[in-house]
Amino acid sequence: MTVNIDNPFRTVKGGLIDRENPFDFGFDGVLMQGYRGDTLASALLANGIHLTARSFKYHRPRGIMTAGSEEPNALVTIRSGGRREPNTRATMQELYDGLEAVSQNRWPSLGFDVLGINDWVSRFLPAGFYYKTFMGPHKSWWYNLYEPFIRRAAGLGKAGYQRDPDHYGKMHGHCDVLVVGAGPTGLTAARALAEAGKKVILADENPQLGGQCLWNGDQVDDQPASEWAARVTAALKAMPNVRVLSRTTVFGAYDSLTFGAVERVCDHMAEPVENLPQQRFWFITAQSVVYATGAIERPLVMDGNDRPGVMMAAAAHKYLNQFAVVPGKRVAIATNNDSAYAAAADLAANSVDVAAVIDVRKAAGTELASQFDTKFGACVHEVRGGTKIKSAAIASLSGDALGNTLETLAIDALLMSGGWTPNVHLMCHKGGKPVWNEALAAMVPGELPANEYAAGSVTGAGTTATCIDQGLDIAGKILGESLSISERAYSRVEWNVEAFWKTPGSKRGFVEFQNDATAKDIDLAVQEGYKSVEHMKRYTTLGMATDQGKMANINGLALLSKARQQAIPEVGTTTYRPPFTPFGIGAVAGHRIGKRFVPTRYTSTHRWAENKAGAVMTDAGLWKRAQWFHQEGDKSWIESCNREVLNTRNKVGLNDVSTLGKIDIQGPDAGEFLNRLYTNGFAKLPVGKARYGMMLREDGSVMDDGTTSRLSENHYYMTTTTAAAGAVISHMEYYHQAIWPSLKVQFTSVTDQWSAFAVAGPRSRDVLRKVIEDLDLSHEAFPFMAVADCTVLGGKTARLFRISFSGELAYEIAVDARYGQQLWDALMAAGEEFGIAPYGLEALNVMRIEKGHVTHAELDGRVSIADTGLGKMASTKKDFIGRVATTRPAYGEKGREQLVGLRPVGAPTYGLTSEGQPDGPIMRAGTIVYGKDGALDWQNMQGWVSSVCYSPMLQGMIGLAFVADGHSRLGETVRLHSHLHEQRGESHAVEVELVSGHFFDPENERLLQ
Amino acid sequence: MVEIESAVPFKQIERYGAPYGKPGVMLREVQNQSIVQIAAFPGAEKDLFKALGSELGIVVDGTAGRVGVNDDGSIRAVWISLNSYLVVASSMPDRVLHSRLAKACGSYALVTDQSAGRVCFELTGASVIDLLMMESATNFERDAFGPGESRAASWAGIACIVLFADGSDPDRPVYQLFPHRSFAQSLWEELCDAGREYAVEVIG
Repeated sequence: MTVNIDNPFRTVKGGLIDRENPFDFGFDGVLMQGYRGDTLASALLANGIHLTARSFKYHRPRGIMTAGSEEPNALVTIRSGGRREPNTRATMQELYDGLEAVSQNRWPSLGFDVLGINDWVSRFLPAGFYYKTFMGPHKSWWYNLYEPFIRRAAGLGKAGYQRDPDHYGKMHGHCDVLVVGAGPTGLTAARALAEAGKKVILADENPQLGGQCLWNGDQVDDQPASEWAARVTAALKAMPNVRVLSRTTVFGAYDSLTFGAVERVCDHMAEPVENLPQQRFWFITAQSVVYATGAIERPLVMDGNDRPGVMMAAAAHKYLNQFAVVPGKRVAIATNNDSAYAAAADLAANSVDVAAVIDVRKAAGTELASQFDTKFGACVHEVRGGTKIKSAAIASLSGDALGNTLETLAIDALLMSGGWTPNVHLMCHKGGKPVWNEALAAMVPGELPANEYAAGSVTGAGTTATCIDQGLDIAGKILGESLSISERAYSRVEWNVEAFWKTPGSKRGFVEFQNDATAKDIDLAVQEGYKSVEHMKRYTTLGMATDQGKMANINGLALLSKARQQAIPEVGTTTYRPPFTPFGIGAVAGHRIGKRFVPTRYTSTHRWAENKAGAVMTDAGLWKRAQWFHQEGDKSWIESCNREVLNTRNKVGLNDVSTLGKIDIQGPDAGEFLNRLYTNGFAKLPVGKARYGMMLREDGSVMDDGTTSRLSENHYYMTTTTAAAGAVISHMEYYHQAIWPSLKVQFTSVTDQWSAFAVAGPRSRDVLRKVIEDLDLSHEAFPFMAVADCTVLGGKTARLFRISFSGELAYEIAVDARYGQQLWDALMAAGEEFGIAPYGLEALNVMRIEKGHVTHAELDGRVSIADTGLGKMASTKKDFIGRVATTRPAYGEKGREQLVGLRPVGAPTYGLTSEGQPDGPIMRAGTIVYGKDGALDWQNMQGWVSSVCYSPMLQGMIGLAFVADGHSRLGETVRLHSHLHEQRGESHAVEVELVSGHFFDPENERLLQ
Repeated sequence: MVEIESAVPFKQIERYGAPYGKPGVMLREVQNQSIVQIAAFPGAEKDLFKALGSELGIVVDGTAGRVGVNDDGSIRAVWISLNSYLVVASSMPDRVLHSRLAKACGSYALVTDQSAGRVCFELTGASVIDLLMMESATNFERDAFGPGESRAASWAGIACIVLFADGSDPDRPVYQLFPHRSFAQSLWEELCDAGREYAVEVIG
């Protein structure tokens, strides 16, 4: 490993780095040294490294261009394993001891990249080339050759495949004022607002607050502005009503003054501090917001403007004054404004040879220009070099054309400044449109909604002094008073920009570095008809992806307007979208990942079922339910299920049905309320009785079914399916609150209050007689559909329902959920002598299919009550939700799919194979029903299978299906064909007979015992 | 003797996060509470409030988020939504509170026992507000949520009523969360896991 620790481009003093704390770090295997306070980019530059990446498409060598989050080139991969983080901006990544960075998108090395050949053949790879080429000879060439090759050849870093070991947090913040950006404007505004008692959140993407004060060399009260920023920062951090969020990017603005932000809590460390999140996702809700988001210096468009060593002038200024790094020993500066002169002056003061300042203007607005060999009315027309800049050719300007070549400067860095682009992104996320400012040659914020304010460089205020003034003004606006401060700032330069969009004659000057879009590409887009700014963006990829217009937007718009011969405001701007800068997807997920991605709901018997009874648990919505109870010797789940069905049908079974929705409904109008909800009547239901009901949506489709019991004159207890419990109570709330607010009724969910168990089978009464202490359970005293309160467990109140989903003599008993497991234990103990055993969802499903009962496998939102065969439950004597819709012609059309039963033709009986699978014709849920004859095509499709099972009682497979005009076709033969299983080479076709869905005990003799 | 079962069957009495120093949050499950939900029928709100005052000595007026307490502090009417409260009492036999309220208020309101349906988690410590703010969009900061107030909120996607039960000791504010029972285990796990940053000590 090569070792480089001498920091040849580090100044001997100055900067805000901690020279007492040197850090070792590596880049592409070369060990180097930097300091605490460095970014990876500043540390690389200190070691003379400019070449950090290869470009996206042409694989051109690229260097560090900026010193901020707008960096388009220096994207590297850091960390390894599950912590691998591709596309990290070297300009934002703080250095830590041991940091290892690797360059991307190159092979075999950064210095020699084979795919650099793309640049040599770039004339064949203009914008949109992939839309026009690779058409033939056959489309398979695209999938098998072209696309894989392009994907390998182009791109950025690669994400890791290992699980990220770190966790990510979330936090909500509420404030009177959110101040975005902690430069001089943001600091001033935040301090003034906080001193007035406002609750302030101040967020900045950098670790140190101060923005340009940290490096621009300005002064406040005759002291460096950086010291002023440090004082204000300390004061703000000490105030209880201020939350300072450094390393935090406000990435998006949303409705009602809510904002998304990501705090990089531990990104500046080798590993996160234990128990701290790597990143924290902030939801910020504010009463007002101050956008003090600053401005980004934009590049000049000229041939070779992407050579390593070409850098923004302000970036070089920042590297010098904040990080004590110079970009080169001999530099030239190309500019169209005054701000670059301050950089030139400070570089010169640090022994950097400023070979020339090339200024497109006729004159400068600052006296600093006189210190240098300034070439006015000139521009750089070509930058030369390979993996590092060697020289810049300078030419005079003659109107809109290039004049004479003046000279070629041998330099090791070219610093450019094409003006300033305000960071208007956040103000545009909700649809705000920026407006063109001719003096600035840039877009500035347009009219902002109420309680949103922009101040500082984002509005065009270029100096520390004007930023402080604006910060104070904006705070005064929010507070409704005029404010003043005694601090006085001094700035050496103002911007004084003169628009200059491209060096005349330049064809391969890069406008957008991240996606390799050139000035020529924009001309090509217009030539091909992509004249709209949004079309041009997509054709050239300019401003897409993570750039979001930061570096490229204004130059791109200007060149487009020139190509269209229209003014820039007429061309308009593209859409800015969040996030402002990228962040890890882990921050979005937070710590709720894996099995905790959604909450889990547990019944009171969960632990017993899973730990003591061998239950295989399954998801039922958010609930966990026992699917079946495995016993030693069971060869398949079907065997377990069959055993449970047979035990229930022949003896007695126990099932936890606590997951069913349960709603307590009370009030003088409770009966009327239910009458309107259900298709059938409930107002006249006798006290102590339950009734099965169906409710429809407004469109006439079945919404849910269940039983509702009348406990007293004004008190009902509704059960819903597990799946629809939430939807049903929301539906009820809507009608109660919005449609029938005068009904004297209230209701609430009691799903969690009651543990409920189904006790089913011919011996169920015997079991309950041993557990219930005060109720006569004879058929005469407690008939089918009876309901009563009772006492169990030595005095605990329970509620008993004689209802049956299994078709057996059955009951549901509910008890205070705090005693659920104890009642279950009591039932199991009482039932031991009768052969009681628990049964799971699969057995429950088999028994309900045997009885032809529907669930949401059938009630899938498309069926009407008539389709299910329960049309008579729709009252003709009263109104109910969905009644009008059920009279629509579509619900009575011939050919509607209606619920029927299915059995293989001839109803053969068969058992299970030695592997525990059905040893005969197999039907499958979801299979398409075709006519007996004819093709297996859509014209012959007649319906679909909703539920199937192997019935141990009938010794064969049975099913439920929706078949066209099914109710009048019983006895007909149809075909089931599963194309999916055919592709898999599995059993896929069977002829079946349409039969009644009541397969077992159709006269209901068993449940009426 | 039938004992009340925990709503957090997989609960571990341990500490989550930094194993040393003062925990930022202490967490326990409060059992043996009687919880009854009352919700006024439309137009009967004042009658309900009057009946509640007569029966339990609790004054409420329907103000959103305001909690009523009886004289000795043993019974609270915790606001949960429009004209709806959870009446929470400690040390009462099963269903006694429900019976009293059903008799006193049943003509004016839904009266439903939720002693099992709702679970009470109590959180104390200097970092409780931070923990609450991690996973809830509701503002629980002191200037927005004071002692004796309640909010119908969600935390980590789980609906729960949050009560600021006691603010008399600024260093040890007491908050109570009332989730639905079936969600209690998940909420508990989330509190322990998310709270590692502040160190959560389970004390019961």
